[in-house]
Amino acid sequence: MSTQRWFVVTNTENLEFFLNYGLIVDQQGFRNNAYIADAMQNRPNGYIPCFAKDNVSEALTAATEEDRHLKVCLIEIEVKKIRFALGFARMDTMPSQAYIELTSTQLLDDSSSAFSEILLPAPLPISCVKSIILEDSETQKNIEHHYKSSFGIGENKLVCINKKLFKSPKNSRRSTDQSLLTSADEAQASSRQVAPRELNYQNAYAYGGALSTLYYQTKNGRHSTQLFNQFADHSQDAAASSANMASLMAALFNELESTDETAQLYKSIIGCLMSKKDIGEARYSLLALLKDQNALPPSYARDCPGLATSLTQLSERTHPDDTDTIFKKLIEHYEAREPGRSKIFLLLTMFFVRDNTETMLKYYHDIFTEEDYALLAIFFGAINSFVNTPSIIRLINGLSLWISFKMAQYMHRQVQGDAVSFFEPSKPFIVYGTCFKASSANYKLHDFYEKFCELYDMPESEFINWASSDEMSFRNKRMECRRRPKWTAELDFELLEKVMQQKTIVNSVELFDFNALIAAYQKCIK
Amino acid sequence: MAKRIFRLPRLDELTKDQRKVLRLPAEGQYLVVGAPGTGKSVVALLRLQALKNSQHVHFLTYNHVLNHANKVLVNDAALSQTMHTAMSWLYDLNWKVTNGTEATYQQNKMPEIRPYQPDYEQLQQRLTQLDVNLSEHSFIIDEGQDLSPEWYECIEALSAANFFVVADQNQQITDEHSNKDDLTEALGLDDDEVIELKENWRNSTPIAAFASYFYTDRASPKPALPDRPSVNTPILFEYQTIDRVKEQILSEYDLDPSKLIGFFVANDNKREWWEKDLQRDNKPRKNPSPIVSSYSSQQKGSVNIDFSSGGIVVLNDKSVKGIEFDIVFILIDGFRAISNDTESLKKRMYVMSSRARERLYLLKSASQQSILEDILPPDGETITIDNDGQSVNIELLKRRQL
Repeated sequence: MSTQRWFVVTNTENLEFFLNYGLIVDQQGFRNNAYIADAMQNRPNGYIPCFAKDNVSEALTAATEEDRHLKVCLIEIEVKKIRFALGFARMDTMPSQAYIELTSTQLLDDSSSAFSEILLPAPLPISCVKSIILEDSETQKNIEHHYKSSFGIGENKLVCINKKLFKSPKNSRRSTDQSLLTSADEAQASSRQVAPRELNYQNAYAYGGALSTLYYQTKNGRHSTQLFNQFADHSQDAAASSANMASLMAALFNELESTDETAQLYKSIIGCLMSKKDIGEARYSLLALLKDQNALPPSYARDCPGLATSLTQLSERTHPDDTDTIFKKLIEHYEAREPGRSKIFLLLTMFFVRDNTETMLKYYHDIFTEEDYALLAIFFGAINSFVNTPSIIRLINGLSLWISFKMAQYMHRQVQGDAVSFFEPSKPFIVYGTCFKASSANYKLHDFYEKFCELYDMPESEFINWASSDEMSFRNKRMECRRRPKWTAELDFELLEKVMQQKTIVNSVELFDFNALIAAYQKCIK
Repeated sequence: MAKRIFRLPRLDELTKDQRKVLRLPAEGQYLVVGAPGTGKSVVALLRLQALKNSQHVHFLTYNHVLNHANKVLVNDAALSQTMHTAMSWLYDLNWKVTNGTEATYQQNKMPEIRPYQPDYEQLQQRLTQLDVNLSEHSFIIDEGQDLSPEWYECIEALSAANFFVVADQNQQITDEHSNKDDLTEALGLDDDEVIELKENWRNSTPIAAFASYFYTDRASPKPALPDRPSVNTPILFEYQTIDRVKEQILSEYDLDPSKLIGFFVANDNKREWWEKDLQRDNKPRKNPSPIVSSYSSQQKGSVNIDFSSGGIVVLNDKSVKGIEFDIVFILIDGFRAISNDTESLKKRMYVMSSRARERLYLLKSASQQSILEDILPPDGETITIDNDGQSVNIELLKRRQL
């Protein structure tokens, strides 16, 4: 197996973009003019150029071309975590911009040491990053704390310094193995220019936002957990759980059917909102859409203008009702007409009541169901995209890394089916099903229940019933236990879910801290 | 009490110009100028974060409320220790280097021309004699136009060489202020050390357009407007009874208690009255009653506004400079012009309205005439912006009845 190391060569500002957005992207993935020129600007769109360690010199120069005060960095890619059918590679001796085709199997082969540069199909998940290498300790000091608090990285020497790598000689000779050189000559003869791949990252970012925010709602209960699993697995069972969920999924996965007008409307709405920079602009565009009879599916053309009037009043603070009453009337009105009909209007109204995912997650209404909270999470997560998922959610152990993988997988599947795949990091911790059991005699789990109640100030008696299973007998007119009593904790899930929702929505100042719960569970179960 | 969404922006949320400013080396002297909302304070605070590991960094502001808000925004106990008002820092410096005690107060106190007005010449002589050397120190100064050129010259004379000053001469509020030329001269800056931020970055387009209507500075061009249309057009509410004003503000808070609302009034009497009145709310609402706070210049350093939570802050219009609120209400009744000076009224209106990040409401009595009403944009006044190649009309002010 090849020991060649491959580096994305850029500056720390582009690196920060990758970490914020959760993907290593090509130029097309940058938003708000955030891209700072680096070697990528002279490569075909749709690919991530990676350089061999003795070929980084030119790319390092390109990474500070825009401003000499930029700081360079090398992102080492763990290529064995990537499977692809079509990438590209080049050697120093090949004409400029000429590449030969390459598969991931070839990349792991010894012959790959003849290559000076490879093009990997974009995007790559953050889980493919082996290390982030900086030139000096000052830069490391400046970014380390920030990376740890914002992205939860910095452990396991992920960020390190290696001055030598930044001083590699230009055009140094690579392998001298004659057989490799011969195959290199053959390859060179078949070299060609690489056609750019047009990519649209908006949907992948939206999917990451929806998935991460929906994960947060799994603390609400078993139904939310089921919806999350179906959404994550892109499962067809979602339709059985929630018709609106199925429509939202169809809109996000680009699987529209002509008969599903709700999915069509979701698609138009998400498309209209997710590229907007500020909430006022997004609301402006949404009102325009809701008033545009030609843009609306026929079954919604009658209701949407009325909703637009109500939302305008809400926006201008001239609506006669308070928000709880608005939601109540809306749900009662549309559900009476057709079950599930209210959902899309509920989401749109919430978009005029809350302008931020975090404050939306704290909005409680006793008429909202678990499904409503899940749909709100998907909707707000999608339109705000992964980069705006609240940091307390992004910092949940293992979540961001897994979401990054899911976004990359989503993007490649949308473009090329399964031609590109990645090693999957561990799925984040699922509360219902892992740490809560309907009935358990495991004393370690009992310890966890106790800790859980203490941590979130919940009365144990509200959802746990303790049952003793000791066997009793009478001997010499005395009652005796045949063995030590065994206690079983019987959980009332409905009551637990109710208490959880009370604690995490109604009475919440901060969002629910999954990490504290995960740590408590792992400590007790260990 | 709901937590406010109040954080410094990510790099990708900044403009190219702001990012360029952030890359300036730690050493050297720089002046960043720009109109309100161009993100001057934000780049100053991000620079402070970037210099976290450096020794002797001082983040100085003129205004106590701004200093307090900045500390909350930075949200870092170690960095907060470096943040002061420029005057309190200077008075502290004098006291420390002279080893001032209660017994030596008369001898070591700050030499002053009048109360709180240092005699910079004498102070400079004293500090030089005491060999005070600030060559290893870095100064980041927010709202730098409010300090006099003498303040800068005094610090420079102590070998201070690292200055990063952000300023807007259209927002001068002190008699001893500095304009761009004064600052350039006092700091001895070359052209490439003066950077101008031109893009309005804080306000939504309608609020930026409304504020821009009152722009008076002839020396520099109006800041460029954002090119995004928005539903949040400023609204002038005409009210019949004063209770409607109270209800409008309290229901705005109840709609989203994570928002910090600024309520600006014409004078301190009104400020005190409204602060008490807004605290008296017996109407049942979805959320608990808001924290209603206030501040006046007499309070000096004791600022009790919680910028990290939603709530209502009642302020006299003279105390609002440099701070921003999610939502702003301006009660335009009771303002007075000094010797019919419309320009100064416009300047006050400009500063007040540009404090609003998301929403701006003006309130006026149906039965009283307000002098500010005369300078408001006429009914139906619009500006046209280019949004993705399409011309969009932006209404400057909507008028609604309460």
